[in-house]
Amino acid sequence: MKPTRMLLALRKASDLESASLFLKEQPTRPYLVIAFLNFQIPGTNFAAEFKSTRVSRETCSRSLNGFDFEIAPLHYRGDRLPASVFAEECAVRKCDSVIVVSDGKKQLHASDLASTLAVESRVPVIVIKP
Amino acid sequence: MIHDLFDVRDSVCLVTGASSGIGVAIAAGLAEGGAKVVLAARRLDRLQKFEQSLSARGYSAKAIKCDVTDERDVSAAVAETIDSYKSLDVLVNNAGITHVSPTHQLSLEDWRRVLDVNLTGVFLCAKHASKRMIEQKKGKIINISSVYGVMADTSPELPYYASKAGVIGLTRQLALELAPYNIQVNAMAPGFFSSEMTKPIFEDADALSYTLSRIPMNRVGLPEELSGVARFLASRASDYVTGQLIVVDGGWSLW
Repeated sequence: MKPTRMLLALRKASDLESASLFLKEQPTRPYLVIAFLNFQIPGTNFAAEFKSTRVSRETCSRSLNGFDFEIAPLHYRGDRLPASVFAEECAVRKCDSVIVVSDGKKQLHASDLASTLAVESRVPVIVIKP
Repeated sequence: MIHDLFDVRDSVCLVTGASSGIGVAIAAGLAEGGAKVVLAARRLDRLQKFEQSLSARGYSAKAIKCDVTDERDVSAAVAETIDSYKSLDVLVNNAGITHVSPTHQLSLEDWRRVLDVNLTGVFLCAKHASKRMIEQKKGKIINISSVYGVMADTSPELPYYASKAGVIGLTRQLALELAPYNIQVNAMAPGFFSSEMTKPIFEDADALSYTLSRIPMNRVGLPEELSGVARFLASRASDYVTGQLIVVDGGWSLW
């Protein structure tokens, strides 16, 4: 399989470096859609506004030198699994694969983002370790 | 009319832990229903902002600084409520904290701190509020437990689980004691809602995936889904309901 458009599902900014190391070793360089959740949980005026760790264009350019990419913050309100949000974005952006980092924590009982994304995604999911 | 049963207009409601999260949602819901809400918490600056927000929208609200672990504070908060409004109709025991630590590393001090707020605080507030409610021959006490009061989970917060389970037992016994005085005592067990306590989960996509995948409804609860239940328990609609626990968790505890 030669991915041409790949969604990079970021849990946090440090995933960018992990993904970059893996991708630079591959024979082809897909176009990357760098997606992360932008939380805004509904509530009263005083409900906390949660923000995931974001990445900037500058950070991405440094880590992914040589790749074409776009940054896609995903508006998220806690109304479904994070994996569903990434899988939907993958379809909207017409990506043919997804890459995600997993720490493989046993206490999460195979319900981390990577595991749930493997179930939700309609395209191949590449899971890499940090 | 049936909707009159859920009317809380002019009810005087004291809500502890009203400066953030679930306390804000419940207090706002009661205020929007026309209740006179007394907001009690340790952080007066945040309370006053909330009070101003409610007042600006035409609702009746009063902020009182109160540490639920200090009996003098609690007694004073109840007294000030009665001085201001001549009544205390509903107590919402919401103040709560947690401490994350594996049990073998948990200090006695941290254990006691959580139990003091989450369980002893509930007792102290109920003790002083019920004195007035007994005189009134009516009242409602709503104790906020947690879905962690009925189940275990991977997060190492032993004192929190223990205290929230304790709130359920306290609720049942207190309900029995106060039933002859026409005081209903019930508990709510919220599941996964946005709050300062759950913020670390929202900032971790893996923890969020894990949590939401274990909730059959696969989503976080909305504030009105708590305040609606609180409205029921604060109103005449629940006059024959006492000693009960209502779990508001999207099915999380069903497994």
